[in-house]
Amino acid sequence: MEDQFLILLNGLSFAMLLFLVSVGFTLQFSVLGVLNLAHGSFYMLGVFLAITVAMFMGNYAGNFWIGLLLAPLLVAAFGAFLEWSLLRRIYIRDVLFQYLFTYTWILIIDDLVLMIWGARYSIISLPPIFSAPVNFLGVTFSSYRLFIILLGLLVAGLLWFFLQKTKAGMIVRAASVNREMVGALGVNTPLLFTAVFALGAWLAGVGGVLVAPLQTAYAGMGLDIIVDCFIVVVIGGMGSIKGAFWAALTLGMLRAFGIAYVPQVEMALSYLLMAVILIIRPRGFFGREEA
Amino acid sequence: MLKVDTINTYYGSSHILQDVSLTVNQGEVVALLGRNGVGKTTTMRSIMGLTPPRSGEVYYCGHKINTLPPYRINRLGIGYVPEDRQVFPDLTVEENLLVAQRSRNSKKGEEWTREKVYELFPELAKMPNRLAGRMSGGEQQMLTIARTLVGNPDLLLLDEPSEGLAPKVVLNLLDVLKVIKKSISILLAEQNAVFALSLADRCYIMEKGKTVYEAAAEEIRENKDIQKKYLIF
Amino acid sequence: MKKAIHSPACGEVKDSLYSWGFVIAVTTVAIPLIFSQFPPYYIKLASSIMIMILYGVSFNLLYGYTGYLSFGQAAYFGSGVYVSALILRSTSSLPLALLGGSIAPALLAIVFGYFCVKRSKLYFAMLTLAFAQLIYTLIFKWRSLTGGDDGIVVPRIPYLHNPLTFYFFILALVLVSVFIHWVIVHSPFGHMLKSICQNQERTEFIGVPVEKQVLVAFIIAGFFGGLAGAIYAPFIGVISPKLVHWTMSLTPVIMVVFGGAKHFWGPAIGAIVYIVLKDIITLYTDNWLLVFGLMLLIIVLISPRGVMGVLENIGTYIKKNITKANLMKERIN
Repeated sequence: MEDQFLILLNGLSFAMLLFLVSVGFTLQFSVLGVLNLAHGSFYMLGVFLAITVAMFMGNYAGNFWIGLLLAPLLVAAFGAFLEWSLLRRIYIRDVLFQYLFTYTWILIIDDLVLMIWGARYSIISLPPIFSAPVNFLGVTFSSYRLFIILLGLLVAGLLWFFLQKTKAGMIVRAASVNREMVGALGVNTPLLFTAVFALGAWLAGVGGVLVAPLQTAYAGMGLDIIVDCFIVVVIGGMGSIKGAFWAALTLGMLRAFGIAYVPQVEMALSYLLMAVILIIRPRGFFGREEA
Repeated sequence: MLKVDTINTYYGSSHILQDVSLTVNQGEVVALLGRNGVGKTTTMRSIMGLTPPRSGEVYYCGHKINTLPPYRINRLGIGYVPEDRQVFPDLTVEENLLVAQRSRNSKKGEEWTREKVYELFPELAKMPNRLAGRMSGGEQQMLTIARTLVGNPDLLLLDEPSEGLAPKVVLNLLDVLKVIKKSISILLAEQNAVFALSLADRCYIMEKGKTVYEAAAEEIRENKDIQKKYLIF
Repeated sequence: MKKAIHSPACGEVKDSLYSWGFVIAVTTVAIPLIFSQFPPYYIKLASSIMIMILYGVSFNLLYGYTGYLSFGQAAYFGSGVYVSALILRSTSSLPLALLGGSIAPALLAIVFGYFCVKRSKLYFAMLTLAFAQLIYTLIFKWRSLTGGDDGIVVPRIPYLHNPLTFYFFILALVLVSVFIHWVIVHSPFGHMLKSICQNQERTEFIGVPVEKQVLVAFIIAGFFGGLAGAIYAPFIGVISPKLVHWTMSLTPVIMVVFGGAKHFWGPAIGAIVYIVLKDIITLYTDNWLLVFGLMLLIIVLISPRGVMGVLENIGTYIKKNITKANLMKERIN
């Protein structure tokens, strides 16, 4: 029983990481109509920037927190720059070109990361506050993973509040169904697009920083996470934030229990789930009917 | 107020508007009449910057607007009510209005607030929390007009507001527009000429992407030949 | 009024016009080899160009003709490589390896394709990439079979020991396969694919099962992509998961962007440009991905139809100006 609970918690922490990254991806898609294939590369940038911050700070205990604050902002600024300088030139083009376009970013960013940080794999140490595990409802659990779960829930809550209760959030929701009309009603859509793209990149950056102490960083890790984002989006429904949440949760659980019970085929499980969803409910949990 | 000067607009490679010119003066209601597919909607979209003209110019209150993005055009004071309503279906009535709400300095004191709009559309006031996607066509039409009003435009582009509405709802709409026209100039694209002529001061008739006739509304009301030739009564 | 839906790749697929380009390309590659004074390095370069031509043309049957962009062709190329290598290791029969190395990927394409065509083009691109990543991870992790990161040494084929002989074998194989593509493209099925590309809704409306047609194209692309991989295995000698990596899926995409998707021979020309360019770039820098990334970015930004599109645009621009000038003359007269 305790074991299962531990697995559940592990699954939750993974699910929250996945949610943070994939919600940015789906948000960008729903407002801008562009699937940013380089989203995973933004995540990777988050990881490497966190490492750099940690290196600069040396052994200073707060380096993780500074990284968590700074790195996602840098990623967001980079995202905003890319949207402003390049992406907005191709909104009028067909989706396949937008695809191809963001695809080229992966090549560029991945190689740049390789040039700047090298192929040497690195990992940052956990902030001291998380050095000891916690006793949580009777099980001993990594305090850092618990922190990830709480932070993920917090971001999910804030996003929900932003989208449902603020005027800017309403504009985002309106733009996700009808970009043109939002512009005709006087909303500065170019600015909106830049902001939403930056927000998506920021979320990817947060996910990256959070994963930095858990996993060794390598150039190309962006592609692994983007595939996970795809799976989340297919399962949850393209453009649906609620869908991203529940799909990330499902996938997190599937992976955690998969690793625990059927480690040989764990990797294929998420694909299997995606295949099943595509057969029984092609538009995903909360997806709109495709236009 | 609005001056459209020999614009040409294309969809891809098809030439839709051919040298269309028209003007709307302050306080006027101008109707753009013609059958389905003659370019009325494209004219509206061209003015609004949604499908910018490839040549020709559009001026609004002295500003050249044909190269501006739609949101800038809106902020200069042009409100757009699209042909097929285009409410935001996942947002409530109230939220639809909130998204579009915009105060403009020139209108201090006589602004369209949500309260004032609800007064004008009592049906909407009854259901501020209804999802727009769950409303009837008539209600959605009211909502699109209300939504544009809270943006406080000086000129309203109304595209086929009566299309697909029950006769009773059309009458209701007519009353509303009569109120609105007291403070806002209107460019009204309509197939329903009876409806349009009961509001308009002046008319343009379009055919095959061109404006072919311009006259005072009264003149067209009386000229049966013109009616037969270009319009459906 | 509805906006006209313009699909990127769609439009007239031209081939006759560009055949000469291919003929010239092939002769430039082939003629020097006949006077085989060249060092084996160039013969091998020409061989890999040939293999990439097949890979690119098979990919373009899907992308150029139906408008469905696959980001995961490495799954089929790569599985062709591995199946062929494993068969060669156990039987050392090349025909068997080629057969297995193209049928296995085709079977894979049936399974994956079934899911990939379920929704829009957007999903298609996404899912092909995801499934390719699955195959990559599988090959990477299944050490006992694939050797994992270490790869496999493929036994040599005695009768193809001479690089020049091997080159001509590949040339023949590729020419036959490309000819089959030509026949497919000019068959009623090929015309159907083009109409899917130009207007999917309308094609669906007249009762064509679009999903099925695209799936068939996907399977054919998988089969020939696999065949390209199957011959690549004995050609390259040592194989590794790099050949299934997503950068391998990128290869045909780059080739098509360089050569143009709208011409039957576009990817062939693209293959020549790509291999030669890569050969040159890697002389100077390891960061060939970065260089290609920037080149692609610029091409996609300025010309949606690839390098050939740029040339074509210049052509039509000149033509237009000539007709304009003529019109002016007529008016003056």
